[in-house]
Amino acid sequence: MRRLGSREDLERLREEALSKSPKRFISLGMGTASRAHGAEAVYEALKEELAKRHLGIPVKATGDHGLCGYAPVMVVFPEGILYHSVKPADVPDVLEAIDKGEVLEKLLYTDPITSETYIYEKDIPFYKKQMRLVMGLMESVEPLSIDDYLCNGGFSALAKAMFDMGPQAIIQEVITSGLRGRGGAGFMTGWKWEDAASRSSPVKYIVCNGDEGDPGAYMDRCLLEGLPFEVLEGMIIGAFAVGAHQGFVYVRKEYPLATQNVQAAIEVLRELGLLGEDILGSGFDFDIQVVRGGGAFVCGESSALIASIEGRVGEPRSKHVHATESGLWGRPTVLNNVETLANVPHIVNKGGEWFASIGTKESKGTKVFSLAGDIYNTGLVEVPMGITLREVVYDIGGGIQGGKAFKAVQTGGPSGGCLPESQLDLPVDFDTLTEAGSMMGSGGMIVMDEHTCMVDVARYFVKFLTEESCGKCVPCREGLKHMLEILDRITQGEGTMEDLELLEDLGYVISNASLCGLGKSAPNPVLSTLRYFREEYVEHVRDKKCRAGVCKALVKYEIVPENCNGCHVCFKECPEGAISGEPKGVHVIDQQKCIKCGICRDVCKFDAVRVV
Amino acid sequence: MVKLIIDGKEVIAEEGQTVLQAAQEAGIYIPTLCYHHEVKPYTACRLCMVEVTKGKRTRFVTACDYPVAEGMVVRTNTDKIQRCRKLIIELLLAQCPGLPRLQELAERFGVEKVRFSKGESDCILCGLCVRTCQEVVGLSAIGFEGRGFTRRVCTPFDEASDPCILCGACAYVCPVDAIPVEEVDGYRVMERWHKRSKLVACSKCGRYFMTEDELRLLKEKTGLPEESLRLCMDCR
Ligand SMILES: Cc1cc2nc3c(=O)[nH]c(=O)nc-3n(C[C@H](O)[C@H](O)[C@H](O)COP(=O)(O)O)c2cc1C
Ligand code: SF4
Ligand code: SF4
Repeated sequence: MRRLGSREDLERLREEALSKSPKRFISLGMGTASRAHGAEAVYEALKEELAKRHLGIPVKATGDHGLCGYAPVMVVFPEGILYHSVKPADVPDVLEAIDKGEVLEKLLYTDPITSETYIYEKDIPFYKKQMRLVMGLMESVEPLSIDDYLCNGGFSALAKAMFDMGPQAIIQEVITSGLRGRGGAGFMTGWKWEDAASRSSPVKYIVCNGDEGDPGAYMDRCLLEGLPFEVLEGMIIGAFAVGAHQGFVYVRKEYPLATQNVQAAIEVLRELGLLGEDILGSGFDFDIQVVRGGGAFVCGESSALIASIEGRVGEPRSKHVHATESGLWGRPTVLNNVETLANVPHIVNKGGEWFASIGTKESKGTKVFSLAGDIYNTGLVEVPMGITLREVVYDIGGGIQGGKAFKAVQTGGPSGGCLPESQLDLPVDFDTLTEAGSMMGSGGMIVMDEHTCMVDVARYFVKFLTEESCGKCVPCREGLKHMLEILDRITQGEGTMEDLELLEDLGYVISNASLCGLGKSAPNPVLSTLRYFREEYVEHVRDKKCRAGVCKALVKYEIVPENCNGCHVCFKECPEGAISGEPKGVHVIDQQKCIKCGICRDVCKFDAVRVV
Repeated sequence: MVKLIIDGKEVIAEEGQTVLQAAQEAGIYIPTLCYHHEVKPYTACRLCMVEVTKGKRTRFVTACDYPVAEGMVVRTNTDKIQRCRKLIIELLLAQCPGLPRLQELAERFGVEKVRFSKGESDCILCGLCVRTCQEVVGLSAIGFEGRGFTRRVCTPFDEASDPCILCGACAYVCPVDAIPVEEVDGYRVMERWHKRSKLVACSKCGRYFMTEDELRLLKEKTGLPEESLRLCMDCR
């Protein structure tokens, strides 16, 4: 690879890449989520079959496409035909269809509710309401192909930033865009950069936070795996804007593919002279180092992360002094989330005004969510800010599975809140979610159906947070421990009405007095469920009832004789042999033997098993 | 010099001082447990939280590390502060029910009963011992282990810590006297750190005045001849 000494060199390389760029290609999602569903075998099969048939169609092994519940997903370009759940054995048929210019019906997406079948990716409801900006290039760019990235406008933002704009204009553009940090706190990125730029220190740093400790979220992993050049371009622009010459990408150690791709991408950029000394002949020097994170959730918190990079214990510290004044090794430091940085090239290319035209008054642009739970379409979705929760759950997510009723949507990761049906028309933005008792957080979004017990959900998240609390400060360490004990008690049917007050008292103090964001947000799952689903707590405490049938101590499984036609299925499936009854006769559950696993209810097709 | 207002009282403080220092000098009491003027603020006990108004913005901050500023208005006793303080004391009392220091605080701030399940620890995890050993003595013989409520202070691998010289600085700063130091049969013993060291008697007056481990370190650090170090302060 040759070193690019100027903007003209960059454009020449782009021209060359464009002249070689194929119109027809197959894009196969190959990120970690897709690999878990066997995408690698499909890739091998594709390569083999293409060679056999002498078809000169390139296959791009890209990052995850988003529709992860249906992986492996492939899209045939230029038409944009989407095939899902592809198996190696399907590959000959797929290629046959492509060769003949036909469509392979059996792998097309069919809407689970309307039963409508879609040929083109863009028409599928899951994609239709999305606005794929930072994820936009995911399907057309191979993670480490600089040619692919250049063909899609890669590094034009960097060249524009360095040669047409300069630091001040870049920062102004980012301020105009209204971009707020995607790592959780939603701080204005432009202000952060402005503050760091105003510091006179000769040494400054920029850090990309790819710790992503929220167990349900994986948009940062997906970006680092699939579009490392986009994230790095954003980072180089940021470094240039604030005057940093050294950057760090902090990636959690459970993300081997992300680490590998970012590292490899950095090496490509160094060879090209897009990192290192005198980038594109601008006189600006900047290099990036990858740091692998220890894995604790709290290490994603800014001061803990900085301590961790410095080689100290990854523990939060008081933050009266911003990192932009004194961060890594006491130097001005800009810390930004992966997705935040991935937005930057788009803002520079298309302008802050354009970016600010997307979204709501105070929240601009798009946000990527990891959509999970009891819905049809799970995966990564990128939506414009201001879209309603209902649109995300029903239009994109496809609604609740199995005809059950919606109960709650939890946003913001483990310390987010649970919102009920009545809040579904809220626009998704930083401030609205916070006001409603939840948060944007990392962009986790879990949809729950009527078989979910909200007390149990709160307990589940508090348990996670109790285990992840670093233990430094008293309210979080001791307070969460007791919150968990109380929630345990309530789900066991041993709670009292005073316990509800205690939870509220603890919630108030933990959220107000804790040292870092973990503690400050940790009571959200409890406080939000107390706010919206209080009657469920009361039922657990006063009536010793769990309406969702989840809290085992409070439920009994019974067979409704009128509904039971003696199909005998539950008899066969009960792991404890607790069900008696002859085929065609009414069945009965022996309460002494029943372990309340709920299998009988799941297998009964006649609604004859009831939780009481 | 900066002028600020604490609880309605005008206070003059030096640039760079913390709100806690300014309050203490003005005779205004703010409770603390993890603070000691010899080591850096740690902001872990959260007892010193106060409300600070600068311009239009009011923030809830730890007084022990929050720097004073001209015109700042500090309130140390609002409803919010009381509510947090009381619950924090209650939580600590639940964690360590037997500590007189906590009982005093409970009395002072009107914490009447503990509504939580009780533990049996004697350490409030303020980290003063750990930080003193590291920042003042310069040894890091003890540290934290575990996270969340399983966190505890211990020696590496719970074995006698090599660097520990039994100087007792940790015991001295511990706000709840959780680190006993004993002298028995010519040895100084610190059970908590699984360590004992022979006491050294002054070569002139015969009084025990340091441990052999302290002597060893002193010799290393100062390079002075052992004979001169074996004299106690009074006999030197
Ligand atoms: C407990 C905790 C965990 C966090 N984890 C992450 C994380 O994994 N990734 C991230 O970008 N930010 C995380 N944050 C937020 C960071 O502290 C910080 O606000 C963010 O990285 C700043 O970048 P941004 O302004 O671009 O969002 C976490 C915060 C807390 C309190
Ligand atoms: S809030 Fe929790 S995680 Fe944060 S410093 Fe305190 S104990 Fe540690
Ligand atoms: S709940 Fe489980 S153990 Fe009980 S009857 Fe049903 S299947 Fe059997």
